[in-house]
Amino acid sequence: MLKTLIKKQLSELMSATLSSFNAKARKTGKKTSVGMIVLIAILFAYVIGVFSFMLIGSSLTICVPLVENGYAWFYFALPFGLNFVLSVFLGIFSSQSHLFNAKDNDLLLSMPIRPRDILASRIIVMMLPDYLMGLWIGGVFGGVYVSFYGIDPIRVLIFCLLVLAVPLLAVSIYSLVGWAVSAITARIKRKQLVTTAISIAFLVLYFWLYTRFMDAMTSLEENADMSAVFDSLASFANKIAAYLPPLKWIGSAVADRSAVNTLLSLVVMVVPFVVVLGLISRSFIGIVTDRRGAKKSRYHAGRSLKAATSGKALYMRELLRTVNCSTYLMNAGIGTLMMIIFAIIITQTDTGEMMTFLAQEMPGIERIFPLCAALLICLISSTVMFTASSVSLEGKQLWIIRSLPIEAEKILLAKVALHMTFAVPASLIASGILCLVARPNAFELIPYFLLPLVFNLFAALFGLIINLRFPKLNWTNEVQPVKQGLASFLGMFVPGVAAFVVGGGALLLTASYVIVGDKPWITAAAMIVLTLLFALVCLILYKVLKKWGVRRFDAL
Amino acid sequence: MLKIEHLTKKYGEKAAVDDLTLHIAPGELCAFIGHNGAGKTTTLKACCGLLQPDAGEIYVDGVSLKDAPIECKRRLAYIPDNPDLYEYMTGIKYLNFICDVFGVSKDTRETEIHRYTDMFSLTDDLAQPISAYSHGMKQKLAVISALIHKPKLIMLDEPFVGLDPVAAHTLKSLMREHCEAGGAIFFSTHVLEVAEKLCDRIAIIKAGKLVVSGSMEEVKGDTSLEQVFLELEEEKDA
Repeated sequence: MLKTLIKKQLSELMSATLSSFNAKARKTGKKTSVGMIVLIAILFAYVIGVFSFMLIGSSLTICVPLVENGYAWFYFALPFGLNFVLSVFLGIFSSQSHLFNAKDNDLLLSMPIRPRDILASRIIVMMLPDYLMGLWIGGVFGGVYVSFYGIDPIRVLIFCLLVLAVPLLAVSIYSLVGWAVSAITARIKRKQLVTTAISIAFLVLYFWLYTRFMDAMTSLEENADMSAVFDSLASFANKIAAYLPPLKWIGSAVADRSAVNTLLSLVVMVVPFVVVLGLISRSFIGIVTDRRGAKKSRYHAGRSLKAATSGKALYMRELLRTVNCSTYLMNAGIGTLMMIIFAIIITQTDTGEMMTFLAQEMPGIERIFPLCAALLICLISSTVMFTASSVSLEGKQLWIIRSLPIEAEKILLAKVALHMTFAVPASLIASGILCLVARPNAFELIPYFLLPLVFNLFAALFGLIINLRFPKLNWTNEVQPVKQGLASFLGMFVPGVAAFVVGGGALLLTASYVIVGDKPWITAAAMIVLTLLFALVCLILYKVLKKWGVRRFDAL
Repeated sequence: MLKIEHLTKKYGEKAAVDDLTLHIAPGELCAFIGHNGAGKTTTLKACCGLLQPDAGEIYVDGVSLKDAPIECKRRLAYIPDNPDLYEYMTGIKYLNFICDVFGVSKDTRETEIHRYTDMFSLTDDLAQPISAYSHGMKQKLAVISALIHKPKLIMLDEPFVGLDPVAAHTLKSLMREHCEAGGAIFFSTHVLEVAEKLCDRIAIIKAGKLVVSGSMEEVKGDTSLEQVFLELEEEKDA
């Protein structure tokens, strides 16, 4: 039974990504375009290649110094720690929806299937990305170690065992959070808003802990008067050994080929998994079938109704959907929070001091800071992806909007407006905060604020067009279109690359002019040119949306 | 009110609806009957602009659906067989949204919403999110949303499924009332008794082709509608 359920979950996962390749193919039953699959495969390979390159570079730099100086355990602990942190971060916002809010709960529970099997199948599929990430990061770190020190079968065995075990701990943590959120919100009236609030609280706590941790590390380095890469890493490792002994056990299990540490590590990772699985299994039926909720609201017939234009009604529809779906709000809107959080981190940590230091060492360099700050906001803005799944989220309710007398263009523009509602304030706040360190002058001020705004519009329009091209309307859980859809990936990836490549190029060019040419106006000019460039792209995308997008929406 | 001319809709190689021609006059209540997969839903969806036909023309109140889809949609209402509504809205917000889209005035919407929700005993539940509604309650809400903007043509796909006997009776009364006021209704059903008692016209579809269309008396003659339908099905099997 578990095997059948896993196959069902996997087919949903695959269809979330692949079936949206070609809407026409879905209707006609023809196979997906090979060219499109190749293109997407190249894109995925590119992303993996870039990150692999960065991982290989880092592990090559630190492997020998750490191993030769008695910190081999730390070298091996790093990939496991990284895998754990990334898995928790990526899983935390969708675990509740994935585990408890699937639309086929009633159907599955009406069949002779144990709730434990339903839950286990969802957890296993939810862990797949964690395992892929673990294999990838572990493979890079392990490969680099082997290239220097050769293969040791026992070490490889322990390493593989731990690669398999680490996601168990990560899934325990985020499943527990999902379970806790479900339990807390079971009797609350505004479930989705409370879920969102808890998720945001968790995110803020996460970043607060991160900044505290980094501050602690910095003060440790300053006290010890260390500056070399190795010394920093060594002090970091000592701190971890003192405060996070399980990570030391995991690293030592591989480094020392220690049976005791291997056993301890496995206990730390497997026991929470078994406990959490048991806990959730026992309350699974109660959570997914609890329809009682909060006290029933009674409608008072005398209440006055507010009339609105169709455009405003469409916008309010988008807004209601967003605030009532925490999976969508948190996954598509996380970038808005990140913009502000990163801006605060930059002004509160060493980055601000570093910029002051750079300005003292290289007079004139401070003139590119406004461009750097604007581009950083653009880069983070690419993770705001409301429009990239907004068409898919219409799902089986698409008939409503399609049967109403509304132009498709109005419907699509309401989606863009929703995206901008969240992106614009976040962008302005982040730009405002970064003013403290970027210090734009009077000429730079307007393009400094305008560039991220125009970029957000570009990301919104691009996301919408890509979702129209790759819609995923037949889903059983919001996580599928929001997180697993091809449109979400491309909607984030392409604007990110655009910000990185176009912005990076402009930054290098501007920096060289500022330093060599002593032209202080060049930053304002660069920001104006970039703003105009993205505005032109927006205009083109808007034209595409008006013609092709409208036709496409009408044919969905 | 509804003029379907040589409508053809294909899925791949298979014609779900094949050269279907049907006219429904103002004041007519027409039942659309056929076995599962005969093409009823496809025809209804094509008539309200949810599906683009491969061939043929559809006119709503004399307006071409192909040339002026928005104008046509202003004149019609559609309810699918399984009304998936916006579960993140409350019942009242959903109805208010529909009124906003159709430009129903504030006073009219307040009167009409309360009139219909009282008829379907749904008033007390309007503040509840639709996600908390039963299938029958969703069906009632969908029916109300189709009626509040006073469309000329209403198209319903299996409208009685999930409704309790009182609600089904209310709906039948409202359907008659709508047609007596000069509107038209085109609905699919498998409940032949309802079609026989309620409708002026009958259209029977088989494997995408319209096999019979006419007034109730013309179609059934001295026999029952069930008898006519079964005979047609046997002809197909033979």
